[in-house]
Amino acid sequence: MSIRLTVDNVKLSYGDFMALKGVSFEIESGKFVTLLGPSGCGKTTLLRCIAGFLDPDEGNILFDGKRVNDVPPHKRNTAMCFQSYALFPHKNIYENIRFGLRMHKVPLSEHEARIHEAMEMVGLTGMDNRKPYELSGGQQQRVALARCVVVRPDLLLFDEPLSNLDAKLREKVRVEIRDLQRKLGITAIYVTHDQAEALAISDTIIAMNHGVIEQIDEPRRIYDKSANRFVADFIGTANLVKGSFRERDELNLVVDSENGTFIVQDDDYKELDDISVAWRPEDMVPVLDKENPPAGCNLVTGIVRNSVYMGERLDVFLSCGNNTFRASVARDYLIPEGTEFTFAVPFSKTRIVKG
Amino acid sequence: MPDRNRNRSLTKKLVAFIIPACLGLIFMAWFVVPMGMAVLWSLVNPDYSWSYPQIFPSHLSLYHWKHVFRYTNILGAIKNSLIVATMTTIGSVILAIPTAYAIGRRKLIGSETFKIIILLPMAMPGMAMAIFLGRMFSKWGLSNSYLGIALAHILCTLPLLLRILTVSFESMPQDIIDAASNLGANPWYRFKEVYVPMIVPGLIAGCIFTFIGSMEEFNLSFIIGAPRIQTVPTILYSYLGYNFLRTNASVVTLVMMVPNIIVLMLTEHFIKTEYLGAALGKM
Repeated sequence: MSIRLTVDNVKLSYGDFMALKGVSFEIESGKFVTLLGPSGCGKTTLLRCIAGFLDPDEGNILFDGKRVNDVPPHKRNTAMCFQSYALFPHKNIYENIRFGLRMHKVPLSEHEARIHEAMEMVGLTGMDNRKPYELSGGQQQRVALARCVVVRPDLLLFDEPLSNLDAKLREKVRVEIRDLQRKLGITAIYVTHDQAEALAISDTIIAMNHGVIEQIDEPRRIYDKSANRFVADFIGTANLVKGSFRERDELNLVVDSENGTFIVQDDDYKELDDISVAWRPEDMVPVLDKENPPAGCNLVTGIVRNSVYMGERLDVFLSCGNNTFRASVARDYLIPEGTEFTFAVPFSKTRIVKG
Repeated sequence: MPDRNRNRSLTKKLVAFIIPACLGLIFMAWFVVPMGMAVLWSLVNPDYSWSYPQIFPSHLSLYHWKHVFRYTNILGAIKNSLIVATMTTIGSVILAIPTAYAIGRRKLIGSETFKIIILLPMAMPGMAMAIFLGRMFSKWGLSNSYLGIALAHILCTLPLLLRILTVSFESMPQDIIDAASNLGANPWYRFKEVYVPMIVPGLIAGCIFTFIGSMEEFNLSFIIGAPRIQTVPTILYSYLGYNFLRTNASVVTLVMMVPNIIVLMLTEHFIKTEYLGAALGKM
């Protein structure tokens, strides 16, 4: 039912453009994995290779250890939800969902029960005779989802399935997708460029850029322990400043930068050449009493360029030398624009990233 | 504010009533008037001339109808026309679907050029083509046969059908084809369950053009088919040439319209909303 997917050094070019420059990873059976990256990073290309729509130039794709490169898409038993939904416009909802059962030669007697079960799972009961164009975007994506799960695939593939929905609905359907996948225990690969979506839905995130994998990690680690500048900046917001390593004092790494010296408590770093200091906006704490700054923190002082009230948070853009840093603080603070202000960043929240 | 509302309701009226009314009038002038003239001319009593300033003929009779049905083999010609048109339509569809698929869905080198080349037969004057084809066909023994006329007609009708179907194939979203194969459809099922239903609107439109085009084609039918195979247009043209008889020509014209109207009504009956949905649905 559910399979382990192995992608082994997959390369693919479109003419001169290398979309995938040797991508390898493995996904355990039943896991929900997200391919995350900006547009053009190769994530959709990779998904299409896994589905069999594209042939890698090099490298192997294995389902449960069996090479499937030469297996055509209709024999791979994967099921994909498309960004465009890709429902059959000439078939009604019931027939759309039934299509896969007919193609897989499932006995006729099972069809109705399985279809109605799938429709119930996605909340479409009673829509049998509707046509796709009579449904809203959210409903169409649910039909697509039902059409996928009804065939009980080995692998569920999602190609930015929610990007045509509005924000509220997106969050709702995303939870539904995750619940359904967990319930059925089918290995799932989900392509998105939306980092919030990736963090919310995945067991593991594979961050990609320019056809290579930048980091594979669980959401918490990919956010808190970003491996490099790209990941830190793409997932969430990061304040980054180029630094050079000076010395090490027990747990503390001392790094010089154009914005002063930072002390970093990071036992996860690998190299100390070509590094930046990184910290998250929400880890910046306003220092109200400058005479007594909190202990164990790096202090960042600058001129408040903008102070933007976001409702849930107050975003402050702080001008420090040539850099602008972003602080995201509780909405109760009043931090006037144009004044000098100091923020504290705990050593433990300051990180070293490559690049 | 009231002014703007009035403007808006004027626009609505314009769209809902005035524009269709204008189109209706143009349609009347363009279709109903000639039709009415043909009906009247076919009913003119030969003993009483119909001339200016009479608006309607003074006496009516079925003389010309009886004459045409007695002295020409018009029923046989209708049969011939129907056989040829059916063969032409079937042949065109069989040739056009795979070709249009190849041009529309496969990335072929030079397919843009090919798209223009296939339209060239439409630019060639029918008579010029008829004369050269007639020569070749008589050499190959295809003259005076249904097959010969149908083959010649296919040459004329294929470009348009091909063009329509190519567009149908091209405009099909790749995602839908991928979704089908992803759900386990092999190439045959993809063709049967996805491609065909989705090209049906174009296919039906193309078939109507092909069928009616073949029914009304004169040059090739005459040069390749005559004298053994007479089609309705060859009878019609015999009244339009040297011995010009508007009355009998009107009869034949009206007779010729009958199968065409039947075809149109049948297709209208068979094009269901689901196919319109396929053409217009959100994708």
